[in-house]
Amino acid sequence: MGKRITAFLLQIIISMSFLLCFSGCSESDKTEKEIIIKVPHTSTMNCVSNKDIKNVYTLLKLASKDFVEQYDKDVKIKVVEFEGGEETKAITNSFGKSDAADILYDGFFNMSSFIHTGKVIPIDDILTQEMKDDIYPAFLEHGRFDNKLYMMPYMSSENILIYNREMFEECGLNEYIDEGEVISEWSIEDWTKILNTLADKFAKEGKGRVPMMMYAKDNQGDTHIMTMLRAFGGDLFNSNNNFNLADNPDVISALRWLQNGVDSGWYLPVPYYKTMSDNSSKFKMDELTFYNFNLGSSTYSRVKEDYNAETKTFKKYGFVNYPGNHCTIFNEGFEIFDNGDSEKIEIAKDFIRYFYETDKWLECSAGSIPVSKKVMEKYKDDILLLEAFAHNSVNSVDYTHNLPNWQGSENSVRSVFYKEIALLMIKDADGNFAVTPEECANNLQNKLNTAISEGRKNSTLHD
Amino acid sequence: MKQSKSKCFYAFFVFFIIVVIFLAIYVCSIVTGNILEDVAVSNIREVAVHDRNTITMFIEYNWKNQQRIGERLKRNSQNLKTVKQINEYLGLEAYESTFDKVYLLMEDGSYYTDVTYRKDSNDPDYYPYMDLFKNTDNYKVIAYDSLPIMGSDKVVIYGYKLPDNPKDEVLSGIRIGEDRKEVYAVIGICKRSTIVDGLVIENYVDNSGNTQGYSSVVNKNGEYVVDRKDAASSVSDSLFDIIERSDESDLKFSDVQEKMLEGKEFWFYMKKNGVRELNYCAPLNSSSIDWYFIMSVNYNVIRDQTELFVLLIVVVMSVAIIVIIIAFVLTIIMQRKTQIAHAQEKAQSEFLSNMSHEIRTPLNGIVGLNYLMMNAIDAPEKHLQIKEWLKKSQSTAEYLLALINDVLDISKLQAGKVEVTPAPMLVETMLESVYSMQYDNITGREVEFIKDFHITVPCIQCDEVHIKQVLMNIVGNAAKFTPAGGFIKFSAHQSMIDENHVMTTFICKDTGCGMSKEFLSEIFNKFTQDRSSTSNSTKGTGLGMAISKLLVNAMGGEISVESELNKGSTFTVEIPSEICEIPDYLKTSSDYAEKTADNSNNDVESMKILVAEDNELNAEILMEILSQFDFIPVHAQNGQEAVEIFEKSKINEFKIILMDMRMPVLDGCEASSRIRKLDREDAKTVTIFACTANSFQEDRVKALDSGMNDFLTKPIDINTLLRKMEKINHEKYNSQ
Repeated sequence: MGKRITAFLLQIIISMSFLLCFSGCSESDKTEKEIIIKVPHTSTMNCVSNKDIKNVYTLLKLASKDFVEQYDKDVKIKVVEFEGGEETKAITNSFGKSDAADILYDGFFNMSSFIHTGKVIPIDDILTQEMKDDIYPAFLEHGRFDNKLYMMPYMSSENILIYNREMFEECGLNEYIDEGEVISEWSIEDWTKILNTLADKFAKEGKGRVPMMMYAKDNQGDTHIMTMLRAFGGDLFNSNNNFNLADNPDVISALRWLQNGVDSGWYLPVPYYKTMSDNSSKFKMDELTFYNFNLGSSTYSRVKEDYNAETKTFKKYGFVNYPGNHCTIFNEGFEIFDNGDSEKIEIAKDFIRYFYETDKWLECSAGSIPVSKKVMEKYKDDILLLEAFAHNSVNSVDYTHNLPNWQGSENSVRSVFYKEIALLMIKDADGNFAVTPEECANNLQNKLNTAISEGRKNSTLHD
Repeated sequence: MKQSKSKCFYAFFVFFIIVVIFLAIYVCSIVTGNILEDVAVSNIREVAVHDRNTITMFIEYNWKNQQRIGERLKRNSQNLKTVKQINEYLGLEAYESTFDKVYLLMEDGSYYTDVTYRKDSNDPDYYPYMDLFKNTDNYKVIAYDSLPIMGSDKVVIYGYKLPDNPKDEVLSGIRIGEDRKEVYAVIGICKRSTIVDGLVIENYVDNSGNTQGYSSVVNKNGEYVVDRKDAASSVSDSLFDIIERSDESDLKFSDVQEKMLEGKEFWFYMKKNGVRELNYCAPLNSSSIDWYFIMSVNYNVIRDQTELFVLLIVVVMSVAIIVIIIAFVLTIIMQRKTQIAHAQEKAQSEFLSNMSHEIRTPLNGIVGLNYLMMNAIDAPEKHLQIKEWLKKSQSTAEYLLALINDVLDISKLQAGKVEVTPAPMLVETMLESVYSMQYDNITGREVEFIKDFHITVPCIQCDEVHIKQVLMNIVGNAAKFTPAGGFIKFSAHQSMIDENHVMTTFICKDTGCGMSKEFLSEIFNKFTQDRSSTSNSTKGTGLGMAISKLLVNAMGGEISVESELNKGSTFTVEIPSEICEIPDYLKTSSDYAEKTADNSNNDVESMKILVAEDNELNAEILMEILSQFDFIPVHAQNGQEAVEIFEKSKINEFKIILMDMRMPVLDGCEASSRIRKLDREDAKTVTIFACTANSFQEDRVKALDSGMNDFLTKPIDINTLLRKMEKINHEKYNSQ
């Protein structure tokens, strides 16, 4: 009797101890799987089919809600926004943690480096024959590395240059203006003449207007500058996918051509300490003639206002490829990460498959250049310049080749490139440039190939 | 029942002590945890103050830079005429400074940047920088979410208004541009990240190297000047939004707002997304900045820092408390043992004193009576007197014997040498026997003796000798202490425990002198006697109740007593027993009694008893007694002689041999063994009683092993002898 009472009392004490010690600490077990989709805050959209969708975050929130409702498994999808340019913090730093991304929506430009972490899974198995037939092969090709599809394209931005045709007309450069939805193609000689004519005119008036965009303060927009290294033709890469710049006369010519622009007054003052935004602001103030342009850019609304649908002409703006007649394509789409849970990978694949097989979500890509032929066909007349961009895609260059260490580290390609371009533009106290074009090409080749080489060393592809 | 209550009491006591220890440790851990938490908060405050000062210094450093830009501008202002010249100059200033952009705000609100000149609000992207200086402050810093010139970056705008004081010749009256407008202020713009990068608190990292604490800066509207570090929160949330939507918060957002407006330093806990954070808030220590610095640290960091220490404290305290309690309990036990030892020593001392007195008194009486009788033996007129003296001498000697028997009993019980040997017992018969044995004794004292037996189970397995001894003791005590005119009620009843066991309860209630409360608590202890005035006249060893309790407990029962002084006592004995069928020998005992009643006299008359006893006096007395009961005793002086006499006797000449255990030449056991081994018809059947002053278990075993039939304790009680003889004859009768 006594022993029983003692045992009972001890049980109560132990229970009390546990209750007191661990009260509030317990958490109920969750059986449903949670998929985390991360998307940068800067992913804006000009969605034609649904005007309420202003950004990719909203699109994915709506799509994931519908997916969960129709899905046969108990699943929860959390869409998380992160600051644009904070991919390292939002993605790499979360590997192995509870907030690790299962799906990332971002530009291929930002996403390609994650392929080499070994966390991104190949997703060729997502593609059905119908999808393969529908998506433009060039876009799919941009998502491949080592013949495997790692990035699923959704929409694309083709970057060209927009120019202020009023300034052209003001300077007697009408002969270079093409009317209508046309993306012009000029020779390097044309370019030189045009820029010099504009610069001379602006210098004389002394109001601070300049013809050409140029910036090297940070890595924003560096791709466009890199595209201009092709102004004299040729490829930047050799057959081994390494940069071939130092012994490349075309590249050296391009660098010299760009450097001469400083003395010729083509650029904003102190171009090495200017950003793409400085140039953007200057262009909007009608004080800069050429600036970057794509269907998703903030200038697009002005372009639409400028377009006369009856005459099918523009009054203020014209469009041209980068010197050398190139354009760059920025794809956006999805990557799936392997966080050690095969069930979550399957759910993520199911979500993306659902997303592409559901017309209302696929059609939201119309606004930028859709990767889907059927969406393109349906909306080509509703989107100004869409067809022109589609035709111009033949001039696009693969500027990253999805190489490792393109960005994200202190010695990555993007961390190195703009600094060398800045040096190309800087003059010393005696008025001499800090580096010659040859030195710049040599430095670029060494540093960029070192970056890629280190990236290759650390590169791990998913099995 | 009492024992069970006692166990319950001890269990609850142990529980109470454990609960007290537990609560003490719990309270201690809480208090220690709170103290350590305060220390941790204090540490966080120190780090926060350091970071806050760093930010303040950073901002002040930027203002200094703006001052220097102003100084350089003064020197170069004459050369700055065109917009392009000014743009380039400002571009270079920005490149050389900590700013991303350096602007010059003119007195009319227009301003030069490194790329353009903005005249008024008609210009695209014009920003009214003049509004920064609505107050009289010369220094200004504000956070701005979207400045087109900076793209998507959030910015911090620093303003430095050139002094109007004419005494400051260096900076006043700077004029630039074609129309030589006066410069009003220098504007510096930089990304917020320049502050953010310096705000990661390295002190608070978890085992994985992740930062668990971060700083942020908000303005007094709760808007983040410097973003929080957790990417999960919406970029547009203000501190007040976050507090409002938090899972729980010590302070409401309105309280936080109020404290900020008052410029107070404070901290509060907030739980969001399941994570508890300590938020330490302090205003930046510059009169020109109305921002608040906030350091948020994951509570796990504080917990981790304090947990180990609290655990250590709890363990040390637990051990200390347990050691103290063990020491306390041991001290109590030692004290108790000492007290008991003292009490026992005292009781034994008293007992020896009592015994000395009790034994000397009757011995003195016997010696005195013998002396009187020796003197008076020759005087015929004294014969009646002598007869009276002999009776008294007999009575005194019997008392002396009882006294010594009690002492021996308690010794045996203490040594565990008394075995309980349950055997079928007729309860009613046993009760009647006790009643009849005590009847004359009680009624002779003019005390009414009432019996009240309700026996439902007639036969139980019980040690009849021992239960009878207990009951005789209790009833005998009642008889001793109940004055004439009172009554003694001797009752018994039974209740079933289960289908095979029954609880027999014996109650003896008297209207005697009762007992004091003090004595009542000690009544079952050895060497205890109530010396209250009412019982002084009553003789006793003080061992009876102790013997009774030991016997009852040995039988698995309980004995208890209730008593009130001068009113009487009630003794209750409860004995659990196995129920059994009435064996044949008990059923036929009456038949046998009738038979033996008819034949006993004849048998006895002709019965020869061989008495082996080396002590001449004892032998003589025993022979005389036996003769008086018409036995024919034959004396043997030792075991050897007893064997020889028996060997020479006729077959069945001796029915009984009374064999002393300790004898010279050949002891009783050896003699008995030899007799049993004799090759004669009655060697196996003759009844041999062991006679000894000792009746310990080993003596009994030894005697029975040597072939003796039973025991007789010296001095031989002839009635006991006769009863044992009857029993042996009865067994033989049944076996025939």
